[in-house]
Amino acid sequence: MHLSWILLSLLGSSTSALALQDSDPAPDALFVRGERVILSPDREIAGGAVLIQDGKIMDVGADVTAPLGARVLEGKVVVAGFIDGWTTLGLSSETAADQQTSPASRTTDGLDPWIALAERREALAAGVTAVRSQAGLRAYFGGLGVVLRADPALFWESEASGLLSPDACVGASLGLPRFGNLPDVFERVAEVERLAARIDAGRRYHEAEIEYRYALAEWEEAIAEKLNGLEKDAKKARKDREKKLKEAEEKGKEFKDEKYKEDKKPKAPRYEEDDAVMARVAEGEIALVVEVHRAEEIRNLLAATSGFDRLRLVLSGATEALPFAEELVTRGIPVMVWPAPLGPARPSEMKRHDLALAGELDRAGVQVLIGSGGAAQARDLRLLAAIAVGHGMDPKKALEAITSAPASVFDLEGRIGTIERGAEADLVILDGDPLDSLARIRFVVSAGEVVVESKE
Amino acid sequence: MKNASAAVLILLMPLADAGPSAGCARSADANAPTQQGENRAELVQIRAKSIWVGDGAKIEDGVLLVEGGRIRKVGRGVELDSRVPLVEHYGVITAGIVVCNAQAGAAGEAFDETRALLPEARIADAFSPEHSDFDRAVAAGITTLVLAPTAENVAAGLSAAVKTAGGRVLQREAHLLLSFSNAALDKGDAGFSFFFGAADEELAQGGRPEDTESSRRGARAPTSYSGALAELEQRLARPEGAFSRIARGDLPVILEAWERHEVMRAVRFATKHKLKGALRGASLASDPTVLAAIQASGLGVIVGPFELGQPTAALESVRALTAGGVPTAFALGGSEASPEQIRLSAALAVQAGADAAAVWRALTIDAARVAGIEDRVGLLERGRDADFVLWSGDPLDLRSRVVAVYVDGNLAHGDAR
Repeated sequence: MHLSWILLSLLGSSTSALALQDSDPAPDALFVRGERVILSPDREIAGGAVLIQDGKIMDVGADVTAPLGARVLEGKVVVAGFIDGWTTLGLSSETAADQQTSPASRTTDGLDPWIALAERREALAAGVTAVRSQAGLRAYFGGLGVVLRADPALFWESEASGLLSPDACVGASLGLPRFGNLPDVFERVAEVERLAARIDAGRRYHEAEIEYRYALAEWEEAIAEKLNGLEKDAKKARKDREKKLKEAEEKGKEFKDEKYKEDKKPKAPRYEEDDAVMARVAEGEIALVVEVHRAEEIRNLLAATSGFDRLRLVLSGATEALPFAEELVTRGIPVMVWPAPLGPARPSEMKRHDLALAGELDRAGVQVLIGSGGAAQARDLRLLAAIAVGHGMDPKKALEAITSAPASVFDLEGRIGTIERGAEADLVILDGDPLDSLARIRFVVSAGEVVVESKE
Repeated sequence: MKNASAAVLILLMPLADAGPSAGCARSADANAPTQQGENRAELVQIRAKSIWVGDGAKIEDGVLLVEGGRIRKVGRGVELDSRVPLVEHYGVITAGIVVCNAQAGAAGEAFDETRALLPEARIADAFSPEHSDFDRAVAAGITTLVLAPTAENVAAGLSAAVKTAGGRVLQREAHLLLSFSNAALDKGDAGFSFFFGAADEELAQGGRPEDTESSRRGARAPTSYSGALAELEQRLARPEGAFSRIARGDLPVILEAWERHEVMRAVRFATKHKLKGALRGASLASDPTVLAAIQASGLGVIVGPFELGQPTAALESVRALTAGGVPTAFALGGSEASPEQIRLSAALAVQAGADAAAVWRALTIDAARVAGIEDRVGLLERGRDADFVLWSGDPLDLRSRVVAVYVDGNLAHGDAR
C-alpha cells in the first residue's frame, strides 16, 4: 500500500477514505500503465502508472497498484493530453472570422456544441484534449477567449465540464487584413497606439474603480462617525432643530436642514464593459494574446506596452520576433508559434515565415507555445511540434509548447498539461514518443473517460 | 555506351569557351542525360547507421560508394576505397525524394490562359534551373521533380522530369497533361486562378488576384465537361503530335481529376483509349467504387499536397490506393505549396492509417515509376544516379532533419564531414 495514497485518501477526497486498499474494488477507476510516463516535459518515470477516478488523477508513480475491478490500459508512453493554444474549434466560421468583436466580446456566447463535431473528434483522436478557442481570431480585438475540452460530449453534458476557462485571455491582432484590406504602415502604427491606449484606458478604469472603493470606504467611515456623534447629542440636536424650525416659522422664513459635507456620496465610475475587461488585462489577471508578425509592429508593441508592469502579453504568430528575443525574455513574454510549411505565395505579413523560429526563440530563452491556428488544423498539432523539432527545437521544449506552456499561459497550471495528483485526467497513450510522427495513438482519456481507442 | 563519347564533346565545348561553371551542369540536353555524371571520376563513400535501399531493405552500418555520379556499390562490408575520405553518418541514408507535379522554377509558365489545348507545350523549355524554388526543394530532400503544367488547360502540355540541383533534365517529355477538372473549363471565371510568383500583394489584399483580363475576354472554349471531352475525343480520333504518342502508348498521360465524377470520366476515357499514366487528384479514392475503377484502369494516382487540417477522406485515399496496389506518388503543386509540405503530406497520410513503407515508396521509387524514370532514380542500387539524402533519423518522422543531399554524386545541400 502506497503511503501517499493513504494520505491522499485521508485528505478527504470523494473516495471512501482509508477503506481503499489494494484488494478493495474500485470498478469505476481507470488505471493507466506505461513503460514511460511523462509527468511533465522534464520529468518522467520509467515503468509507472496513473490512477484515475471521478475524472481526476488520484495517484501517479512507479509503485501505484491497480484497485480491483479498475479498467487497465497499457501502452508504451503515457503523456498529458495536448493543448492547442490557437484554434477556433466550436465556433461557426462567421464567429471565428468576425471582425467587429471588441475586448468584451465573449467567445462563450459564440460557442456552438454542434459545430465542427468531426473536427473536434479528430483533434481528440489525435490527442488534443483541450484547446483555446477564440472568436474574432484575426480581428483587431477578438475578445475573451476560452479554453474548452475538445471532446464535444462533455460540452453537451454541462457547460461546466466542457469549459475549462470561460475567460482564458483577451485576443487581439495587429497589422492583419481588416475587412479584406491590408492596413498601410501608418494604419498599422496607429493600431499599436490604439491598442496601448485601450490597455491604458483599462488601467485608468481600474484605478478609478480603486479610488472609488477607497473614497466609498472613507465616506462610509465618515458617515458612521457623524451618525455616532449625532446619536450622542441626539436630544440636544433635536431640540436645536425644533427651535430653529419654530423660529423660521415665526419669521415666515423657509427652514433648511443643515448640510453635512458627508452627504456627498462618491460616485461609481460609469460602467464600460470593454474598459472593465481591459482593466483585468492591464492588471495581469488574464493574458493578452496578440497576433502580430512584422518587426515594426512587434517593436512598437513592445515599446508601447513597456509601462504596463502587470500586463501579461503573449505574442502569437510573431514571424519576425527573433530580433526582440532578449526583451521577450526579460519581460517574460511567451510566443505562440505556427511552424507550418508555407509556399512562396503567402500573406505579406508572413513573408519571412521560417520553420526554424520556434527553435531559435527557444534557444534564446523565450517561452514558446505551438498552436495550429485553425479548427481542423488542431488535429495536426503533434505534427507541428515535430516540424519544430525537425527545424532545431529541443524535443522537450516542443512537448512543453503543446502541454504545460499553454496550461500556464491560460492559468490552468496543475489542472491540465501535466500528469500530477489532482489534475484533470486528460491523457494520451501512444506506442512511441509523443512527437514521433510515426507513433500511433492507442488511447485518449479525456476527463477520466476513455474516449478514443485505436482498433489496431 | 555509345552516347558517352558524344557527351564528352558536348561537355568540353562549353567548358572551353565559358569556363567550368557555365554549361555542363545546366545543360538541358535530354539526349545526354548522364553527361554530367559519367564524366566525373569523383568518388564519395559514406558509412551510415542505416541505408534504405528503397525496396524495403535496410542495410544497417552499410556503406554507399559513389563514382562518376552513379552508385557503384551499396551494402554491408563493402571494401572501402582508401583514396577517398570516408564520411561517417550517424543516421539514415535514402534515395532522394521524387515529386510528381510541381511548378518549381516555372511558375509563370505553368499555364497559358489563351488556349485550352497546348499539347506540344514543353515545360522543359520554360523552367529556370537557377530559380530559388530548386534550392528549397533540395533542402527538403527532394532530388527529382516532375514539372508539370497546371490543370488550367484541357491539354496543358508536356511535363519534364528534372533534377533539383544542376537542372539536369532526365525526361524532356515525361507525360501529356490532360485535365478533366473544372479548373480547365470556363476561364472567364476567376475562381480558379492560382497564385504564382509575386502574388503576395494580391493575396494580402484579401484573396485572389483580380482576373480582370480574362473577365473582359469572356469565357474560353470549351466551357463544359462534355465540350472538353468531345475536344479530346476529336484529337484522339485523328492523332497527331503528342496525341498520337499517347494513343500509341509511347507517351504516358497525367489526367487531372478531383471530384468523383471527374475521376470516373477520366478513368473511362483512359480505359477506352488504352492510355498509360496516372491520375492527378482523385482525393476520394478511398471510396470503393472509385478505387475499383482506378484499379481496373491500371492508372497510377498522384496525390496531395496535403496541408494542415486536410480533410481525413483525402488522407485516407493514400491508404486505400497503396493497399490496393495502385502506383501512388505525391505532388507538390504550385507556389502556394512549400517543399517541406511533401514530408508533411506523407506524415499526414501515415497518421491517417497508410503503411509507412508504402508511403515512403510513393515518395521515391513509385513516384519514379509514375514519372517513367524508375531505371534512373528512386532506389539506392548499383548503376543508378547517385541521388541520395542523409537524414538525422527516419525521414517520415518530421523530427528528422536533412543533414545533406547529393544529386548526381555531388553535394547539393548541407555538409557531410
